[in-house]
Amino acid sequence: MPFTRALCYLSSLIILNACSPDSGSPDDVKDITDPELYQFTEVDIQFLKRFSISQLGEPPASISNKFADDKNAAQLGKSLFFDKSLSKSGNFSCATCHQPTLYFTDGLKRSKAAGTTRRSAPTVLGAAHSPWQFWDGRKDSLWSQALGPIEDVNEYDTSRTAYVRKVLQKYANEYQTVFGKIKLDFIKQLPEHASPAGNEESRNNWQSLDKKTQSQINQVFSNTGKAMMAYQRQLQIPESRFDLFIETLPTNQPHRLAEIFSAEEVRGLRLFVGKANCASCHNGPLFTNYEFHNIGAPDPQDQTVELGRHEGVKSLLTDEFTCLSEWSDAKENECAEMRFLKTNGTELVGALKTPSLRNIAVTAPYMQFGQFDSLKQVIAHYNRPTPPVYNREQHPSRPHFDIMPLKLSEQEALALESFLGTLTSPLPKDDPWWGL
Amino acid sequence: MKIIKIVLSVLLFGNYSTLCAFATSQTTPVNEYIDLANEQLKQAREVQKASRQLIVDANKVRKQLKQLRAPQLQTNNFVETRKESVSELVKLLELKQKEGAELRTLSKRLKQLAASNFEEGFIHRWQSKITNREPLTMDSEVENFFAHNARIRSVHKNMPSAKATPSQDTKERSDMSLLVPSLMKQNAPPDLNINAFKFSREEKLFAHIEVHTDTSTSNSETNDITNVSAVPLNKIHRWRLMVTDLSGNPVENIQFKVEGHMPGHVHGLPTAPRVTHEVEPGVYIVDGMKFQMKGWWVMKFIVESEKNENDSPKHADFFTFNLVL
Ligand code: HEC
Ligand code: HEC
Repeated sequence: MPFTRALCYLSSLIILNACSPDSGSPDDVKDITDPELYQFTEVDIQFLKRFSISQLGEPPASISNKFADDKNAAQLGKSLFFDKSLSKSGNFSCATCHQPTLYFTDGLKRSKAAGTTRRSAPTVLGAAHSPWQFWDGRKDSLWSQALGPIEDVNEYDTSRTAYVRKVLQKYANEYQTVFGKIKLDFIKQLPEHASPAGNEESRNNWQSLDKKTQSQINQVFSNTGKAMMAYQRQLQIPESRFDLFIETLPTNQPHRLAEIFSAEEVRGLRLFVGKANCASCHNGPLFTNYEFHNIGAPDPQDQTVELGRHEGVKSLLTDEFTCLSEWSDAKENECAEMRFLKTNGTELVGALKTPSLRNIAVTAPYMQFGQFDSLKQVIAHYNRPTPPVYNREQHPSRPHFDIMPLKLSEQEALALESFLGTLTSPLPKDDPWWGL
Repeated sequence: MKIIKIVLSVLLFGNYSTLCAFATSQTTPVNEYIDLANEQLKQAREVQKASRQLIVDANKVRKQLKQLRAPQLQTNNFVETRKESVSELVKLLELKQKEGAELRTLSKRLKQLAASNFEEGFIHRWQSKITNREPLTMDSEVENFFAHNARIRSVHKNMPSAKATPSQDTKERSDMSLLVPSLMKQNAPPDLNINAFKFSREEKLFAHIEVHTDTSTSNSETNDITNVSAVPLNKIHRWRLMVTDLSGNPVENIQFKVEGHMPGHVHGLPTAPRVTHEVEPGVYIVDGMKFQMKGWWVMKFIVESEKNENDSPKHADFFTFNLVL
């Protein structure tokens, strides 16, 4: 069970902290069968430090959202994130699929709200550090991303007007504190459902609105996204056992290190950055390079093939709410990633954003469709990957493939798996942003 | 023999001219460097032509040899004469091949000389605008660690997947106990030309690249570039591309197509950079440059000809710059 495991880490952290100040006396030296395993050089330590959560820092400054670091916006965003009444049925919120107790995932292969989503829900922890959102990177900011689920038939299944009306009825004060005073009466004349992205009726209703009203709606709509972005930027990842290990490395005391990491976990760590080559993509404090790769996770049968980033960039080009849009707070020439968006290249075909591996042991199932139920299966795939199958009818070009077989022994695979278990952070019960 | 004469004159002239360029680099007017470079380029082309002719000749000789050696000619009567002519032809073949190779080397050397003389003239001419002559690098704190070693592409359903071989290449470093994977097939050849000054492929244009550090026009993200010969890792930044014709005069209004990739690695740049504007005659701003990893990169600036649309892209002139970041 994920929770008991997380609790265990929490308590082990506390115990370690209690006894760590001076455990240097030879009496309590743990029996280390392979002392060399725990020997790390200066350069090793410098290298591994890059993976420590202490190196994460603040999320990069947002150019398109000037409220990104506004605490009131974050508060409002938190309310919106957890508020079920804003969905059409009143049963779903962002937290339906991004549950704090599950590290902001939902434990499902495909998420379920009004319908079943196409892909699996990734965590939102650390998302603020990524230049692109979604597995295929089809959104260029967290605020733009947050607007997607609201109108998605499988998620909130509501419309722009319905959502905006509810938000302004329920959060008029909070909204105006952050975004300034607005005339609220325009919401009274709005059709029940209207949106440029909805069903036919909804689209027709949208067409019948004058430009000014459309603009007022879009302004509020995009601001709700900016508030939810501000909220998600506040989510911190507590130290995991791994971070404690890295912090303890400079003491050069193998017995202390052995109290934190078992020999198998150290072997796993060495494989992770070494022979298994995981760190070539899963690197840095969040264990991701935020780039798009195709690792050939098998496409489920009877389904259109995963086009990944190839499709993501196409969506970006027509998206209403990018950095380049009128709802963005950035000047056009500041939106460098969008202006120089790479829209072609075989390496985009089937490529997905490298996910964070923080809390990975407690956020099964894995991959964009939940193809793998366990880390054992994930590692088995990396060990002997099946390259993506070229589907001439659906693929625009032969998909790219980014990994090579590892040929790890059974023992090595187990060590790698146990290392991944050290990346689980305790649930921060006292952090109000988490809403636990 | 004609060829020998060319070789001699070229060798003499070539050596003399380098000396000359060296001794007078402070005072020589620009044109002299550029004239010299043009002269060398002309000679290089002639030598190259001669070299090609020799290779053609050699191939003819090889054909003759093949015929002579063909089994249907092996009747006793002709054995002796044939032996003689065979050995003569072999000698001739070797000679032509050797001369051809020598001339090719010579032509290459001449082109190098031409390029370095042109660079000298170019620098005199653009003095105030050039901030960096050195090949581009990446900031040295960036370690070469995180590279993924992609060598194979997807396979067809029916293809055996066994083609992929395990990635065992790890770096053994004396200062590390971790076996961090090394970059495979990433090592640039040692004699790779990484100059920031280059003739175009057709040798009709000459260009220089450098990191654009003009903060007055760049956006906030690029402001912190201080080391002018170093490109940043994972950050969108700009370059300046300065272009002249063979007389050293700036060439305006060129439409460029920008491409970049890593040899030995099946991927390109993470962004789609392009020439956004020409800040002054012949000085083009390339914006949207971004490198997501260290290693050997090739940047190509393709001159898009407006006149003849039917020109196959193969014939378009282009600049290639190798960077070892
Ligand atoms: C029905 C379940 C569901 C609901 C409700 C939902 N999400 Fe998601 N979320 C998903 C799925 C599935 C994905 C991945 C979709 C994809 O990549 O194609 C996702 C992706 C994301 C991502 C991208 C993370 C990354 O690393 O790329 C963020 C951020 C996010 N959701 C935030 C939100 C917010 C904010 C809300 C509320 C407005 C919300 N989600 C509502 C299921 C849901
Ligand atoms: C070439 C880059 C690359 C390398 C190397 C790589 N990964 Fe991944 N990893 C990815 C990408 C991209 C995904 C998402 C793929 C998908 O959903 O189909 C992923 C997904 C995962 C997931 C599932 C995450 C989730 O939230 O569903 C795990 C676990 C994982 N990788 C572990 C590893 C391990 C362990 C290694 C080393 C053996 C490794 N990766 C090597 C790029 C890489």
